[in-house]
Parts: sequence; structure tokens; C-alpha cells
Amino acid sequence: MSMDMALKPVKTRRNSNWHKRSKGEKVGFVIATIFVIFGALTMLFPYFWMVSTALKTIAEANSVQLILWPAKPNWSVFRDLINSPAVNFLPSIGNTLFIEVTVILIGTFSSTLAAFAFAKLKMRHRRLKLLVLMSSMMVPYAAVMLPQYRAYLFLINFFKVDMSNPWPWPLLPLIIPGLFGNIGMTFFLITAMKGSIPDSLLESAKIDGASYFRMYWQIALPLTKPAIAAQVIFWFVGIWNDFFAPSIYLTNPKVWTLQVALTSLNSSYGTGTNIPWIMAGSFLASIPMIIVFIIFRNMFVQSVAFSGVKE
Amino acid sequence: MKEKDKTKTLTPAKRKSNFTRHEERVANLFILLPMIGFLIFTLASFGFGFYQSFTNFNPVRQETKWIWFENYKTLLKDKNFKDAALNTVLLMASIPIGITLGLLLAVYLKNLAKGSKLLSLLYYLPAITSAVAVNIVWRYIFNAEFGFINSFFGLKIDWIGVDFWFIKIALWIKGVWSALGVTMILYLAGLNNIPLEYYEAASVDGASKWQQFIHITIPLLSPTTFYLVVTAIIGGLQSFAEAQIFANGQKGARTIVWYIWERGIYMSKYGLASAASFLLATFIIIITIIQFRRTKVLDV
Repeated sequence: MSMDMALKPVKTRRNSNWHKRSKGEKVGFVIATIFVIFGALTMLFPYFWMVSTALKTIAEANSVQLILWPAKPNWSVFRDLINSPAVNFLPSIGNTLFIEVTVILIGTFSSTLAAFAFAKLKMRHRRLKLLVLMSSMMVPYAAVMLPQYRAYLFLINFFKVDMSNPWPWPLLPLIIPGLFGNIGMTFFLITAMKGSIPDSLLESAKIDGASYFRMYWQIALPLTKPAIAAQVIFWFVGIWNDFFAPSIYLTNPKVWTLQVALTSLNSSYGTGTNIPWIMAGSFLASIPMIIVFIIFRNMFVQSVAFSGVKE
Repeated sequence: MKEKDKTKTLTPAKRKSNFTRHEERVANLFILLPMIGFLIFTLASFGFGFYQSFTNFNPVRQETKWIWFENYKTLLKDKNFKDAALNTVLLMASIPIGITLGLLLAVYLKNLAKGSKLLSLLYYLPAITSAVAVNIVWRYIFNAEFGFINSFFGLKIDWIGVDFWFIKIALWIKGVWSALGVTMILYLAGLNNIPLEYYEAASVDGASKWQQFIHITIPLLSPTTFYLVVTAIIGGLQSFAEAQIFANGQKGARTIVWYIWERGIYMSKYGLASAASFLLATFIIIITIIQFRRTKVLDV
């Protein structure tokens, strides 16, 4: 029953008239709705649990008894956490943003410039060159991680970096690869630029003596701004949430990103773990991305959907 | 500069070919940065990893010795590696559940007149939350002593303990929870591409909703399903945060990438870890090539 209704096809959307539905369909719809709402609450629950646990005392958080919401919520937990020098919360956000800004500014330039060349300029072996770039998407990070890590160890040794105060050295292995662009973004923008930049516009720019770089800067970029923005937001969230590579390089608290700061909070597990702080940190780290998603939702969904629906 | 002088004396046809050559040169310049990035961070890195997998590095003496296939032999005999491979594969069992539920959810939301925006937002939250935060909170939800699940249901299960299956059940639940949002969004996009006429025609012919779902919706969504399955497998093969953060290195959740990380970064056994990562990469590259071919991804 519930299946029947839940699976109601697309066309009923516009003329979904409750009164026209059969009794069986109505029952099915109600059951499906109950399932979906229960599911939504399950989705929300871990976030609720983060906040609720954050507001508990350490004893309450470690209690065998179920406490859904603490009797005396400790709202100052967030302020205490942010101000704690051991957690290094704000400097970690600073490091995260440092990676975000440098990588996205320069990486977007590299990616869009390449996309413009692939979309609009004449090029021999175009497919082959694109294939070469795309092949970087096949290689998992685990397969390039060790050589890059060894190269990094070699370089900090070579330049005699003071590892007690290494800023910004350990951040560089996370930044430099991104400066050369993001093939996912390039790929997305090739399609966007093909669709939204008329060849006639480029032809007339050529006749006016505009350089190819000017065509890119003054025609291609402005015309594909929404598509670029969609990819930038997607990339921003990706870097914010990145954890594997940062956890390898960022062992000194001075260079921690937010996610690494969170893991170190979590791995101090065992010796009087401060669960409310771990939860408060996780919640604070999640909120900015949730806000970004709510604001830029359509752009975001566009970026996600592009990958899956493309034939 | 030089080129401009030349063009003055050339015939129009030749001038045109000169322009094209100029255009080609510019185009190659424009793709130079990504190409350099590819050469260093993919090709050279991957190549060096491959070379490294045939060597044995001694971190104390800083010596590298060529040992042919010894690392691969050790690897395939290593019970830890076999366990990691088995865990990685078993943990992917949540993929079909997530995809099925995501499809049902998308179809439901598609037909909803009101509230679908809020619901899809809630279901999408895990996709924008970091793996760190997600694994931390689920770690405490499944905690044996004071976790929510055990207290709420009055259980005494050591979810993240030594038991082989409990930790996997916990990770399946977490996996479905994490994957629903992306599945739903992609299926919603796919559903929007199905023309309404198909359903109208089927209705006229007396097909039931169920028959329409089986014979129209599912086949027409198959490119999305294919993409979801492939990306989920590729992602699953690379899972690391589950082993590291959720399970804190507990045996039953150690994955291949965790093994590579532990042997390579933690123990400096670069050769052995590289052999493991080369095997993993080969596998992922094959799957990706199948996907690229099937989706004609290069026809842009």
C-alpha cells in the first residue's frame, strides 16, 4: 500500500487533488508520509544529539541513563570551547580559510581558463588532452599520497623548516595541488561555456582585436558566473570538510584546520574525555556549511545533479 | 610581435592558418596549469608510487632496495590486508539499501505538493556535514556504555567492540543515513527529466502505478542508478574516516585505505603500502573507465 502511493508517478504532481484519490491511495499516502517524516527526524537526530550532549555536564554525557535534554543546559560550552587555547578553534578556522581562499582564487582561475580553451578555442588532440586531465579523477588519493608525503618530508628537511613553528609549510601540500585547478570544475564549465557563450560574440571580439585572454576575462567569465559560483560553493564545502590529507600533514596545532582540530579533540579519548566539547565542536564546525547550503541551495544542487544526470 | 610583421605580407589563406596556429598556441597555454598539475600530482606521484611498490625502504638507514614483487607477495599473504579488503567490501553492503530508499524518497518528494523543500533539506544535511563530525556523533550514539542506542533500547551491545558484525551493522546504519541525501537529489533531478507524457500514455493503457514505476521510472532512471552505484563503490573503496574516527582503528572496521595509511604514513613501510595502493588504484581505475565509457563522459 505505502509503496503504491510513495511511488506515484510524476504527472500527479500538478493535479494532485486529494479528493480525487481512491481510499487505498489515501491510506498509502498517509503511511508513506509517516515513514518519510520519521526518516526526516532520524536525519535530524544526530544534530539534535550533538547540541543536547554539548549542553550537558561531563557527568551527564557519560551517564548510563538516557538524558534527552539536560536539566541545566550549559550554554557557555560554545564560548569556552572557542576560547580554549588547547582546542585552537579560531586559529584552526583561520587556517581552513587560508586554504580555501588561496586554492579557490587561483584554482578557479586555472580551471576556468582551461575550460574556456576546451570549450571555445581550436585545439588539436582536444579529446586526448581532455582525457589526460580527466584521468586524474580516476586515481585515488591513497595512490598518490605516499610519494607526495615523502616529497614533502624531503622538502621540509631540505629547507630546514623549524617544525616547532612550521606555519605555513604543512599547509602547502594541501594548497599547491589545488592551484593547478580542479578537473571537476573545468569539466562542468566546458559544458556551461559551450552552452552560454555564442560563437558570434567571440568572432566580433576577434575582429575588434581582442586578445584571447580578454575574451576569457570579459566575455566567458561574466557569461558563466552562475555556473562558476555553483562550482566554487561546492569546492568551498569540500575543502572545509576535507580531513584525510590534512590529518596527515597537520600534526602541529599551529597549522590545524578545523577538521583536524576536531579529530584531536576526539582522539584525546579515554583520559577524562570531554564529550560535551567534542559535540560542541562538531556542531560549530557543521553549522557554517548548513547555512551555506541553505543560502546557495539551488546552485549546490545544480553542481551535484550535473554529475549524475549527464548522459 | 614577430608574428604581426609576418602576417602583413601573407595571403589571406595563409594569414588565417597563422591565426589558427596562434589560437592553438594560446589554447595550449590556457590548459598549461592543469596539465602541469596533472604531471606532478597525478602522473609523477602515481608513477613514483608504482616504482616504490617494488622497493623496500629502510627509514633508519634511509636506504632503498629494489626487491621485485616481494611487497606484493607479502601483501597477499598478510592477514591484516585480507581482513581490510573483506571489511571494505562488506561495508559497501549498505549501498543498495541507501539507493533503494533514496529512490523511494525522491519519488515521494516529487509528488508532494508542499513541504518537499524542507524535507529534502533535512535529508541532505549529512552530505554537507564533514565526515569527521558525522563519525564523531555516530561514535557516541553507538557507544557501549552511555550511547543513545543502547540506553534508548535498553541494550548492552558493544557496537564498536571486537565483534565482527556489530561494528558493520553500526556502519551500515550510518552509511545509509549519510548516503540518502545525495541519492535523493540525483534521483529527483533524474525524475525531472522523465516526460509526463510517458505516464499519461501508460495510464490510458490501464497500467497501474506499480507497473508504471517498474516499466517507466526505473528503466529511465538507470543512468542515475548506474552513476550512483559506481560512485558509491569508488567512494566505498576509499573509505577511511569510518575506520579512523568512528572505530578508532578497531579491527572490524579497518579498511584498505586505513591499512595503506597505517603501513605507509604511520609505520613508514612505503613499499608495502604502495603495493596496496597500487592494487586499489588499479581496481578503481578499471571501474572508472567502465563508467566513462558507459556515460560517454568525454563527449563535451
